[in-house]
Amino acid sequence: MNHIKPLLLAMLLAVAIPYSGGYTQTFDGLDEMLFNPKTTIGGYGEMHYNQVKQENGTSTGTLDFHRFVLFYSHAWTEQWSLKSEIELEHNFVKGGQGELELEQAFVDYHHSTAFGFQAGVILPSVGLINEYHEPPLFFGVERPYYAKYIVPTTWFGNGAAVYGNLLGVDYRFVLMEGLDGSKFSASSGLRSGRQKGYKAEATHPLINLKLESRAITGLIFGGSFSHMKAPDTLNSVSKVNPTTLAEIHLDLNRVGLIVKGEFGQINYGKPELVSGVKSARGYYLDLGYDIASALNLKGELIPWFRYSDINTAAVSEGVDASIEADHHDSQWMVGIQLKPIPQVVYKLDYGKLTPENGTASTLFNLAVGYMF
Amino acid sequence: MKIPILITAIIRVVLLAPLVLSAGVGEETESILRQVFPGADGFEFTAIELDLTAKKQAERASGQAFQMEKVFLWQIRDGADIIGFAVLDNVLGKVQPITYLAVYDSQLSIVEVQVIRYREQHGGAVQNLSWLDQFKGFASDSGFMLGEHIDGITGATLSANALTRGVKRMTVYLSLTVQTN
Repeated sequence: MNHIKPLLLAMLLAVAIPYSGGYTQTFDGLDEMLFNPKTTIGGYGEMHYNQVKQENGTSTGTLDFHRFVLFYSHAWTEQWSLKSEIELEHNFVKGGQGELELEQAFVDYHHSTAFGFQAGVILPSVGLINEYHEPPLFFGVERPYYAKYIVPTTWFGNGAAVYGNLLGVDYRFVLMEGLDGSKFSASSGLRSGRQKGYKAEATHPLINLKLESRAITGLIFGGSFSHMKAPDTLNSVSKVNPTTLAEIHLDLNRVGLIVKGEFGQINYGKPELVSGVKSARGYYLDLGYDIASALNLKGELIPWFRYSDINTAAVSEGVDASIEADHHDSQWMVGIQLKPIPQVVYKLDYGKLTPENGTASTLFNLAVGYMF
Repeated sequence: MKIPILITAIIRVVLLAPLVLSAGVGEETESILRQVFPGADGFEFTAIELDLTAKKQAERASGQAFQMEKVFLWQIRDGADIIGFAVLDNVLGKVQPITYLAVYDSQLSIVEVQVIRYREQHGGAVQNLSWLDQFKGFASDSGFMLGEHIDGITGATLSANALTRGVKRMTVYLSLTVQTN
């Protein structure tokens, strides 16, 4: 070697010579040296350009710094830490415009791979995107419609969770504030029922269980089941709408090929409280392929295609069945995303949204996003 | 409803869990080294202050700063011959440090990388041996680009990036400071 450092060598020799083949320093204090209490900052953000052209001729274009998010965290010990996520949406908050949200703020006790416990503002484990919603992690400028109308991301609230990995399977069980049943609707599913940790009605909690495998590198598959009584707060909390959301999801990323898909269904126990809607269901499928290495480029360059089909009133009861067609949308999208480094993404996509009853529209979106 | 039983069980585990002691990180690492080098008869551990010149070069080459002020180094011997080296090091995950072990042959080619302590809920897939096996055979002059030479991991982007840079940093550092045959 050209760069032998005399001092270091002397130290190594000093250790090696007197007790050749046996001497070793003790491990005293090693565990402590490998951990220091630390405060860390992370975050993500995304700016979007969204152009929508209706087939009847109207068109809109908006430029929006959609999300600016800071993760502020502190680790007291190897097991005990605080995690938080503060989000500014739409760059400005005043009179109902924009939002300032505390999306996560919990004390995490990480005992081991097999078991951890969290309490505070947490995210339920539903689908691919709710817990992993940084812009470099999903295709498309906007999250899939599925992640808005079937799984209402970002879904957060006050509660507690146990999590871990047993026999190669990730599990997480969440007990948290439920959803406000009076705000469920035929057009947006559970979305408006989120209480967002604001003085949440908590007599009827949500239970959520996720099982997922991440044991094979490049393959994630799993599912979750959530159940809540969803009190109708407009009338009285004694009037409840037992509601379930069941979903399965898959994310395959092997040799440049990326396949993502989710399927979910919401069942309302009392359709009469949701304009006669008994079930909502939807799915999407993404296919992408990284062509960067074929073009001899650094980073990732991924053209992708998405098909999605969402019906927030898929099954109705006691009302005119036309409600089902009125809330059925299909959509295709093509896009390309460039990641010069894993934490930065540029996105461009184009697609068409076709309601079963209604006017179709074409969509064109651009974005820049980051995470750290 | 069975929830109260579950909550009782959770509380019991949370209260009792801190009382359960695990083996020290040093002993745990050495038992892994004994599996990697079954024929070795000496595992000499030293904690050495970082060499500042080599530190700067390794940080520049990897784009990542050292988290530790010392190098935790094993020399593995078969009689009088050094047959390998190993280092225990930290990189910063999302919030908590990730402690990993990089094991080298006598010429400083990587023979094994393992995560010894992972302290977070998310990103645990960096512990998968099938992913870590990609580092085998790498040396200080290898490419260590995530997504190019090493596959990224969905759901563990930051951890995978940190670990890839960390292994490069340590490999470059050792190439500058350790005497090989």
